[in-house]
Amino acid sequence: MSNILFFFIFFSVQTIGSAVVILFTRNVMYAVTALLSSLLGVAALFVLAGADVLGVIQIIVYIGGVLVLTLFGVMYTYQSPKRYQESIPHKKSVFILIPLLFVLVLLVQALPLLPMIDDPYQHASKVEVTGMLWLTEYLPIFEWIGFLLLVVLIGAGWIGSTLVQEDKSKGEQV
Amino acid sequence: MKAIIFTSALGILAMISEIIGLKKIILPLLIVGLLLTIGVNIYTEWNYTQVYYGMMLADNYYVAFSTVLLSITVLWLLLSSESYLNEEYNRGDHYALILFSTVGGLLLVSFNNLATLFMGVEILSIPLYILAGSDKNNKYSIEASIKYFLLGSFATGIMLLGIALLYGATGTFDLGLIAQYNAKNMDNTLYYGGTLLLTLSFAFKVSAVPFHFWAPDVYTGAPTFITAFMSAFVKVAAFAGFYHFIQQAYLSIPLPMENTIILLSGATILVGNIAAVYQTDMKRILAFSGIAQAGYLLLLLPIQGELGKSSLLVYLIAYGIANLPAFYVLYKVSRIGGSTNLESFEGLGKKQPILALVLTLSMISLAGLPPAAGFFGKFYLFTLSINNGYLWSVLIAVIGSLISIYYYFKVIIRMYTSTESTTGDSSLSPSLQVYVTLVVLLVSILILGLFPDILVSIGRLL
Repeated sequence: MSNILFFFIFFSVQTIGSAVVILFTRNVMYAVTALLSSLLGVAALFVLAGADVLGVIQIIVYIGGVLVLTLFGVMYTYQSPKRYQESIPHKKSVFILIPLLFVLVLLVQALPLLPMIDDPYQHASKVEVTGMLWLTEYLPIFEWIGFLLLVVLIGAGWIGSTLVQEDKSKGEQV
Repeated sequence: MKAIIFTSALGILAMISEIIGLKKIILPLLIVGLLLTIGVNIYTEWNYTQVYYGMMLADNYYVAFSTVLLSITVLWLLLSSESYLNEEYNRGDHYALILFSTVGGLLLVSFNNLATLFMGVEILSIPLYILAGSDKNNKYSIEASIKYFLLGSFATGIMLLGIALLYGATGTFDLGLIAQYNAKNMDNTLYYGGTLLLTLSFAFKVSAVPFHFWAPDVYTGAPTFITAFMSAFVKVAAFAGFYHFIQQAYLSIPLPMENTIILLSGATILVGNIAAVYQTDMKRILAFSGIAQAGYLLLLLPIQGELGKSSLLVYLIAYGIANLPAFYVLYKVSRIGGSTNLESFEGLGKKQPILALVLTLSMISLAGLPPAAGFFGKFYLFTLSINNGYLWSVLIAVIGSLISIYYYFKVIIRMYTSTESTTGDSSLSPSLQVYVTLVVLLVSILILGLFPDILVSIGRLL
């Protein structure tokens, strides 16, 4: 098993396992934390595939932006934590197993246990190539994405504005 | 490219029309703008094939179908103007969203890159998710919006996965390069997986069985004119886009894809027509009729070449111009009767002979009977399919057409046989601009039904 394959399996298990946790947990905080872990796993998979720019964007946009927003949303609407309290079976072993796994990953990297067959870091950074492509061939796509976001904004604004009007008319009736 | 830029600009103009004080004249402005766009588009792009940035292919096919799509938008704006004069909805935002959706349709008939395809589908769909829920006091409208949004998102996800698999197999998003790959390698599981997923997501967009479950509920819940736009515009855009994809990405259609499409077609024709027989609500009848029509159109997709293209053009135009007036009459009847049930149509032939005539002619056209345009749409389609060896599918389609005559004529008979003697109701009369539009539509249904060569000769140039 090459080093790359080992890391691929590790991060795949992390991504899918966390996604399963999101599905089955009843505690919102656990779900958000598991989402964080799942998104980090995806970012790692991007880096393994040589798409370092995409990995960084994944971290900045999803983990830095979307997830922090979600987290604040959850915290503001969070009711008594006891309602969602759930017992984790074999609590101790789970909490020991997860850190152990991370230590294992560090060990694999530190000690030359596995042969490095295809090291992604030997390739040059993709930032320049990606940037060139984005500003030349894929420029229309970005304009259309901008257009799409405009549509979404109008929709959101439109839904909101109608609600305000309804509230006003209700106020007048009272 | 010019048509897309102009339409986007018109959409933005509609959006800010209330701020800059153009609210009163925005409708004529948009119609003149769209007609100019159609003119400029034909004048500059016809017989002048061009690829923009490698993302967009502007050939004659694009010009023809973008003209059809823009015309449907113009007709829709004219017919729907009454519902906005009654201040039922916020017109500036509605018009903006409709025009943005039109831009998505234009992208769908011109994409040369799978990324453009995805953007086109999204720009087409997202305004419609919003518009389906625009009747905010009606819980069915909200239901329609959420249902459409959720199922549409699933379909988009499937499409993205299909695109990813195609990229994995070929290493490119460019349709021309994919076609080159397809010519060399014919047996790649990843490639066929991607193709299958893309086919299924398109089948969802055109509401083919078994991906049709959203259509009746969304059509019933959404405001009537939004339903009209969905059933006329989206179906034309999705079919033209699907055909464009097959034509550009495959030199010859792969056998698994052909079989899938033929199978979907048979199921769609049978389920759509049989389910329509049991409906009592006119909106649901039209929804299932739309599903059945999608089944006939699916038969055309595997047939490439100029005959296939001209047949597609004839059928889609006939379908569009028959569907829009039917929904207009439906809107008028629901305004007075309060519902879209079949009972509301009783005695319409005496109360409003013009509306009844309009509905009769569009039903005849949808059923595919002569002298209406729909007859030649079906005639070319069936002839072409038999010539290409789909004898059994055509047999199913003919049986489906026979069933469809029952429910199309059920409405007509209701309108002209009524025991109650009612006098003319003036509140049902259409306004002048709608009246003119209806006359234009009726005349074009008849002209295209009597002289179908006009469209066929255009179709041969695509």
